[in-house]
Amino acid sequence: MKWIVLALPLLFQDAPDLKDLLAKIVPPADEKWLTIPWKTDLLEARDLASKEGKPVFLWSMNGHPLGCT
Amino acid sequence: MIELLRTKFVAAAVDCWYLDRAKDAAGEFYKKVVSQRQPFEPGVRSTQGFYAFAPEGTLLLGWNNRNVPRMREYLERALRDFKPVAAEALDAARDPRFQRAIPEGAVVVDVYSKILEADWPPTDDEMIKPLRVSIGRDHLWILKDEIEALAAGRLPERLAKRIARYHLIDNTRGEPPMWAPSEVKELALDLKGGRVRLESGDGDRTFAAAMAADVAFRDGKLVKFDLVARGKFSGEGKFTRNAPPGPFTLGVAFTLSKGGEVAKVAPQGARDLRGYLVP
Repeated sequence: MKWIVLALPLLFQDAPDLKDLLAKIVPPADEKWLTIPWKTDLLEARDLASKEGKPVFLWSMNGHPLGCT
Repeated sequence: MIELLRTKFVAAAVDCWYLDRAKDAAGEFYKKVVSQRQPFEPGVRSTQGFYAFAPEGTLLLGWNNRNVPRMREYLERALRDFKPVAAEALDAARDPRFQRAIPEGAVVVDVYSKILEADWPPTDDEMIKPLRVSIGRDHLWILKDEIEALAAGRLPERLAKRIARYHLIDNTRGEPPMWAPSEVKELALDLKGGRVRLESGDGDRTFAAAMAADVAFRDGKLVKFDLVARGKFSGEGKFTRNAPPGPFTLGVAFTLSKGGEVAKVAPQGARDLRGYLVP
Protein backbone atom coordinates (compact mmCIF):
# COMPACT_ATOMS: atom_id res chain seq x y z
CA MET A 1 0.00 0.00 0.00
CA LYS A 2 2.81 2.37 0.94
CA TRP A 3 4.51 1.62 -2.38
CA ILE A 4 1.36 2.55 -4.32
CA VAL A 5 1.02 5.87 -2.49
CA LEU A 6 4.66 6.74 -3.16
CA ALA A 7 4.32 5.85 -6.84
CA LEU A 8 1.18 7.92 -7.45
CA PRO A 9 2.98 11.24 -8.10
CA LEU A 10 5.19 9.50 -10.66
CA LEU A 11 2.17 8.05 -12.41
CA PHE A 12 0.55 11.46 -12.57
CA GLN A 13 3.73 12.98 -13.94
CA ASP A 14 3.60 10.38 -16.70
CA ALA A 15 0.11 11.38 -17.74
CA PRO A 16 -0.13 15.11 -18.42
CA ASP A 17 -3.67 16.38 -18.75
CA LEU A 18 -3.79 17.84 -22.24
CA LYS A 19 -6.61 20.34 -21.74
CA ASP A 20 -5.39 21.43 -18.32
CA LEU A 21 -1.85 22.08 -19.52
CA LEU A 22 -2.98 23.91 -22.64
CA ALA A 23 -5.09 26.16 -20.42
CA LYS A 24 -2.16 26.81 -18.08
CA ILE A 25 0.44 27.53 -20.77
CA VAL A 26 -1.25 28.99 -23.87
CA PRO A 27 -1.79 32.74 -23.37
CA PRO A 28 -5.22 34.29 -23.99
CA ALA A 29 -6.01 35.11 -27.60
CA ASP A 30 -6.69 38.78 -26.83
CA GLU A 31 -3.25 39.83 -25.56
CA LYS A 32 -3.08 43.61 -25.91
CA TRP A 33 0.37 43.81 -27.43
CA LEU A 34 -0.79 41.56 -30.24
CA THR A 35 -3.55 44.03 -31.16
CA ILE A 36 -0.78 46.12 -32.73
CA PRO A 37 -0.73 45.35 -36.48
CA TRP A 38 2.89 44.17 -36.48
CA LYS A 39 4.74 43.78 -39.74
CA THR A 40 7.41 41.12 -39.83
CA ASP A 41 9.13 42.32 -43.00
CA LEU A 42 11.25 45.45 -42.63
CA LEU A 43 10.85 46.64 -46.23
CA GLU A 44 7.09 46.04 -46.22
CA ALA A 45 6.87 48.13 -43.04
CA ARG A 46 8.99 50.86 -44.62
CA ASP A 47 6.83 50.92 -47.77
CA LEU A 48 3.61 51.05 -45.78
CA ALA A 49 4.94 53.86 -43.57
CA SER A 50 5.97 55.84 -46.64
CA LYS A 51 2.51 55.39 -48.14
CA GLU A 52 0.73 56.39 -44.92
CA GLY A 53 3.11 59.23 -43.99
CA LYS A 54 4.05 57.64 -40.66
CA PRO A 55 7.34 56.79 -38.98
CA VAL A 56 8.34 53.17 -38.40
CA PHE A 57 8.66 51.73 -34.90
CA LEU A 58 11.08 48.80 -35.06
CA TRP A 59 11.52 46.20 -32.32
CA SER A 60 14.68 44.26 -33.06
CA MET A 61 15.86 41.32 -30.98
CA ASN A 62 18.25 38.44 -31.35
CA GLY A 63 15.47 35.85 -31.46
CA HIS A 64 12.29 37.18 -33.00
CA PRO A 65 10.23 39.31 -30.56
CA LEU A 66 6.96 37.89 -31.92
CA GLY A 67 7.83 34.28 -32.18
CA CYS A 68 11.10 32.91 -30.97
CA THR A 69 11.64 33.81 -27.38
CA MET B 1 1.34 53.30 -25.64
CA ILE B 2 -0.29 50.47 -27.57
CA GLU B 3 -2.77 52.91 -29.06
CA LEU B 4 0.11 55.19 -30.03
CA LEU B 5 1.81 52.34 -31.86
CA ARG B 6 -1.46 51.23 -33.46
CA THR B 7 -2.35 54.63 -34.86
CA LYS B 8 0.73 56.83 -35.25
CA PHE B 9 3.42 54.37 -36.32
CA VAL B 10 3.87 51.40 -38.58
CA ALA B 11 5.14 48.80 -36.12
CA ALA B 12 7.60 46.12 -37.18
CA ALA B 13 9.40 43.37 -35.32
CA VAL B 14 12.46 41.54 -36.61
CA ASP B 15 15.12 39.03 -35.63
CA CYS B 16 18.36 40.98 -36.00
CA TRP B 17 20.33 37.73 -36.42
CA TYR B 18 19.09 37.65 -40.03
CA LEU B 19 19.32 41.35 -40.85
CA ASP B 20 22.80 41.72 -39.34
CA ARG B 21 23.99 39.13 -41.88
CA ALA B 22 21.80 39.58 -44.97
CA LYS B 23 23.55 41.01 -48.03
CA ASP B 24 20.47 42.49 -49.64
CA ALA B 25 18.48 45.72 -49.64
CA ALA B 26 16.67 44.88 -46.39
CA GLY B 27 19.95 44.12 -44.62
CA GLU B 28 21.63 47.26 -45.92
CA PHE B 29 18.66 49.42 -44.99
CA TYR B 30 18.61 47.92 -41.49
CA LYS B 31 22.32 48.64 -41.02
CA LYS B 32 21.79 52.18 -42.28
CA VAL B 33 19.16 52.78 -39.60
CA VAL B 34 20.80 51.07 -36.62
CA SER B 35 24.28 52.50 -37.29
CA GLN B 36 22.88 55.97 -36.63
CA ARG B 37 22.46 54.91 -33.01
CA GLN B 38 25.83 53.23 -32.55
CA PRO B 39 28.52 51.84 -34.87
CA PHE B 40 27.59 48.59 -36.60
CA GLU B 41 30.18 46.18 -35.21
CA PRO B 42 29.08 42.54 -35.53
CA GLY B 43 30.37 40.41 -32.70
CA VAL B 44 31.27 43.48 -30.66
CA ARG B 45 27.91 45.06 -29.98
CA SER B 46 24.38 43.89 -30.61
CA THR B 47 21.91 45.82 -32.74
CA GLN B 48 19.04 44.73 -30.48
CA GLY B 49 16.76 47.48 -29.35
CA PHE B 50 13.97 49.83 -30.34
CA TYR B 51 14.19 52.26 -33.23
CA ALA B 52 11.88 54.98 -34.47
CA PHE B 53 12.79 56.12 -37.96
CA ALA B 54 11.43 57.86 -41.03
CA PRO B 55 10.71 55.56 -43.99
CA GLU B 56 13.64 56.95 -46.01
CA GLY B 57 15.96 55.80 -43.21
CA THR B 58 16.56 58.79 -40.95
CA LEU B 59 16.75 57.62 -37.35
CA LEU B 60 14.53 59.64 -35.04
CA LEU B 61 15.49 57.79 -31.86
CA GLY B 62 17.06 54.50 -30.87
CA TRP B 63 17.13 52.93 -27.40
CA ASN B 64 17.19 49.60 -25.61
CA ASN B 65 15.11 50.05 -22.49
CA ARG B 66 11.68 48.59 -21.73
CA ASN B 67 10.65 51.10 -19.09
CA VAL B 68 7.10 51.92 -20.16
CA PRO B 69 6.90 55.64 -19.22
CA ARG B 70 10.27 56.22 -20.86
CA MET B 71 9.19 54.30 -23.94
CA ARG B 72 6.08 56.46 -24.27
CA GLU B 73 8.20 59.60 -23.88
CA TYR B 74 10.58 58.40 -26.61
CA LEU B 75 7.73 57.61 -28.99
CA GLU B 76 6.18 61.03 -28.48
CA ARG B 77 9.54 62.69 -29.02
CA ALA B 78 10.06 60.71 -32.24
CA LEU B 79 6.65 61.80 -33.48
CA ARG B 80 7.47 65.46 -32.82
CA ASP B 81 10.71 65.15 -34.80
CA PHE B 82 9.19 63.22 -37.70
CA LYS B 83 8.91 64.95 -41.09
CA PRO B 84 7.44 62.80 -43.84
CA VAL B 85 9.77 62.42 -46.82
CA ALA B 86 9.01 60.11 -49.75
CA ALA B 87 11.08 56.93 -49.63
CA GLU B 88 12.55 55.42 -52.80
CA ALA B 89 11.57 51.86 -53.65
CA LEU B 90 14.21 49.29 -52.68
CA ASP B 91 15.07 45.98 -54.34
CA ALA B 92 12.75 43.35 -52.87
CA ALA B 93 15.08 40.45 -53.75
CA ARG B 94 16.37 38.71 -50.63
CA ASP B 95 19.63 37.06 -49.72
CA PRO B 96 18.59 33.39 -50.07
CA ARG B 97 20.90 32.33 -47.24
CA PHE B 98 18.68 34.22 -44.81
CA GLN B 99 15.28 33.77 -46.41
CA ARG B 100 12.90 31.78 -44.19
CA ALA B 101 9.48 31.28 -45.76
CA ILE B 102 6.96 28.70 -44.59
CA PRO B 103 7.62 25.60 -46.74
CA GLU B 104 4.95 24.89 -49.35
CA GLY B 105 2.17 22.77 -47.93
CA ALA B 106 3.45 23.08 -44.36
CA VAL B 107 1.35 24.14 -41.39
CA VAL B 108 2.42 26.41 -38.56
CA VAL B 109 1.92 25.38 -34.96
CA ASP B 110 2.17 27.87 -32.10
CA VAL B 111 4.51 26.68 -29.36
CA TYR B 112 4.54 28.07 -25.83
CA SER B 113 6.72 27.18 -22.85
CA LYS B 114 6.27 28.06 -19.21
CA ILE B 115 7.89 27.21 -15.90
CA LEU B 116 5.07 25.65 -13.90
CA GLU B 117 6.80 24.90 -10.59
CA ALA B 118 10.18 25.98 -9.25
CA ASP B 119 12.00 26.79 -6.02
CA TRP B 120 13.06 30.32 -6.83
CA PRO B 121 15.49 32.14 -4.58
CA PRO B 122 14.13 35.45 -3.24
CA THR B 123 14.73 38.51 -5.40
CA ASP B 124 13.85 42.20 -5.41
CA ASP B 125 15.21 42.64 -8.92
CA GLU B 126 12.40 44.10 -11.03
CA MET B 127 14.11 42.89 -14.21
CA ILE B 128 14.24 39.29 -12.96
CA LYS B 129 10.69 39.00 -11.59
CA PRO B 130 8.87 39.08 -14.96
CA LEU B 131 11.21 36.44 -16.37
CA ARG B 132 10.00 33.96 -13.77
CA VAL B 133 6.45 34.04 -15.09
CA SER B 134 7.16 34.72 -18.74
CA ILE B 135 5.99 32.55 -21.60
CA GLY B 136 8.40 31.39 -24.30
CA ARG B 137 7.03 31.54 -27.84
CA ASP B 138 7.98 29.83 -31.03
CA HIS B 139 6.53 28.17 -34.12
CA LEU B 140 6.76 24.58 -35.25
CA TRP B 141 6.61 23.76 -38.95
CA ILE B 142 4.94 20.47 -39.88
CA LEU B 143 5.88 19.63 -43.46
CA LYS B 144 3.49 18.48 -46.17
CA ASP B 145 4.57 14.82 -46.18
CA GLU B 146 4.47 14.77 -42.38
CA ILE B 147 0.85 15.96 -42.46
CA GLU B 148 0.09 13.11 -44.85
CA ALA B 149 1.69 10.67 -42.42
CA LEU B 150 -0.38 12.09 -39.56
CA ALA B 151 -3.51 11.65 -41.65
CA ALA B 152 -2.54 8.01 -42.09
CA GLY B 153 -2.36 7.65 -38.30
CA ARG B 154 1.42 7.80 -37.91
CA LEU B 155 3.61 10.47 -36.32
CA PRO B 156 6.78 10.44 -38.42
CA GLU B 157 10.15 10.11 -36.72
CA ARG B 158 11.45 13.25 -38.44
CA LEU B 159 8.65 15.33 -36.89
CA ALA B 160 9.19 13.75 -33.47
CA LYS B 161 12.89 14.59 -33.63
CA ARG B 162 12.17 18.19 -34.72
CA ILE B 163 9.79 18.62 -31.79
CA ALA B 164 12.30 17.17 -29.34
CA ARG B 165 15.45 18.88 -30.56
CA TYR B 166 14.10 22.33 -31.38
CA HIS B 167 10.98 22.80 -29.28
CA LEU B 168 11.35 20.99 -25.95
CA ILE B 169 13.50 23.84 -24.68
CA ASP B 170 13.31 26.43 -21.93
CA ASN B 171 13.02 29.66 -23.92
CA THR B 172 11.23 31.57 -21.16
CA ARG B 173 14.21 33.86 -20.52
CA GLY B 174 15.79 34.24 -23.95
CA GLU B 175 17.48 32.20 -26.64
CA PRO B 176 18.25 28.70 -25.37
CA PRO B 177 20.62 26.16 -26.89
CA MET B 178 18.86 23.53 -28.99
CA TRP B 179 19.47 19.81 -28.42
CA ALA B 180 22.06 18.05 -30.57
CA PRO B 181 21.09 14.70 -32.12
CA SER B 182 23.26 12.85 -29.61
CA GLU B 183 21.51 14.64 -26.74
CA VAL B 184 18.19 12.92 -27.49
CA LYS B 185 18.55 9.97 -25.15
CA GLU B 186 15.00 8.62 -25.38
CA LEU B 187 12.13 9.59 -27.64
CA ALA B 188 8.81 7.88 -28.16
CA LEU B 189 5.95 9.94 -29.57
CA ASP B 190 2.76 8.93 -31.34
CA LEU B 191 -0.60 10.54 -31.98
CA LYS B 192 -1.65 10.10 -28.35
CA GLY B 193 1.55 11.12 -26.58
CA GLY B 194 4.81 9.68 -25.40
CA ARG B 195 8.00 10.27 -23.47
CA VAL B 196 11.28 12.02 -24.01
CA ARG B 197 14.60 12.31 -22.20
CA LEU B 198 17.14 14.91 -23.26
CA GLU B 199 20.57 15.52 -21.78
CA SER B 200 23.34 17.85 -22.90
CA GLY B 201 26.78 16.44 -23.57
CA ASP B 202 28.19 17.90 -20.38
CA GLY B 203 25.13 16.86 -18.39
CA ASP B 204 24.43 20.44 -17.35
CA ARG B 205 21.00 20.58 -19.00
CA THR B 206 18.38 17.85 -18.83
CA PHE B 207 14.70 17.50 -19.60
CA ALA B 208 12.66 14.37 -18.98
CA ALA B 209 9.02 14.75 -19.89
CA ALA B 210 5.81 12.93 -20.59
CA MET B 211 3.66 14.06 -23.50
CA ALA B 212 -0.02 13.93 -24.41
CA ALA B 213 -1.42 14.68 -27.84
CA ASP B 214 -4.67 15.06 -29.74
CA VAL B 215 -4.52 15.20 -33.53
CA ALA B 216 -7.59 15.48 -35.74
CA PHE B 217 -8.43 15.79 -39.43
CA ARG B 218 -11.63 16.94 -41.08
CA ASP B 219 -12.21 16.39 -44.78
CA GLY B 220 -8.54 15.56 -45.17
CA LYS B 221 -7.39 18.77 -43.52
CA LEU B 222 -5.41 18.92 -40.29
CA VAL B 223 -7.75 20.77 -37.92
CA LYS B 224 -6.18 19.96 -34.55
CA PHE B 225 -2.63 19.44 -33.42
CA ASP B 226 -2.62 19.77 -29.66
CA LEU B 227 0.43 18.48 -27.86
CA VAL B 228 1.75 19.10 -24.36
CA ALA B 229 4.95 18.06 -22.65
CA ARG B 230 5.52 18.34 -18.93
CA GLY B 231 8.52 17.23 -16.95
CA LYS B 232 11.60 18.09 -14.95
CA PHE B 233 14.08 20.47 -16.53
CA SER B 234 17.41 21.47 -15.08
CA GLY B 235 20.07 23.90 -16.20
CA GLU B 236 20.28 26.95 -18.40
CA GLY B 237 22.06 28.28 -21.47
CA LYS B 238 24.46 31.14 -22.10
CA PHE B 239 21.55 33.41 -23.08
CA THR B 240 18.97 32.00 -20.64
CA ARG B 241 20.63 32.76 -17.34
CA ASN B 242 18.78 32.98 -14.01
CA ALA B 243 17.06 29.60 -14.26
CA PRO B 244 15.87 28.08 -11.00
CA PRO B 245 18.90 26.64 -9.19
CA GLY B 246 17.52 23.10 -9.02
CA PRO B 247 15.24 20.98 -11.18
CA PHE B 248 11.96 22.66 -12.07
CA THR B 249 8.76 21.71 -13.84
CA LEU B 250 8.61 22.96 -17.41
CA GLY B 251 5.54 22.76 -19.61
CA VAL B 252 5.53 23.11 -23.38
CA ALA B 253 2.26 23.42 -25.30
CA PHE B 254 1.61 23.14 -29.04
CA THR B 255 -1.56 24.15 -30.84
CA LEU B 256 -2.33 24.97 -34.48
CA SER B 257 -1.70 28.60 -35.38
CA LYS B 258 -4.62 30.73 -36.48
CA GLY B 259 -2.40 32.32 -39.13
CA GLY B 260 -1.87 36.01 -39.72
CA GLU B 261 1.31 38.05 -39.83
CA VAL B 262 2.82 36.64 -36.63
CA ALA B 263 2.58 33.09 -38.00
CA LYS B 264 5.09 34.09 -40.69
CA VAL B 265 7.85 34.24 -38.10
CA ALA B 266 10.15 31.30 -38.71
CA PRO B 267 10.95 28.82 -35.94
CA GLN B 268 13.98 29.84 -33.93
CA GLY B 269 15.56 26.51 -34.85
CA ALA B 270 15.21 27.37 -38.56
CA ARG B 271 18.34 29.49 -38.38
CA ASP B 272 19.88 26.05 -38.92
CA LEU B 273 17.40 25.44 -41.75
CA ARG B 274 18.75 22.13 -43.00
CA GLY B 275 19.00 20.72 -39.49
CA TYR B 276 15.51 21.94 -38.65
CA LEU B 277 13.87 20.41 -41.71
CA VAL B 278 15.76 17.11 -41.43
CA PRO B 279 16.75 16.83 -37.75
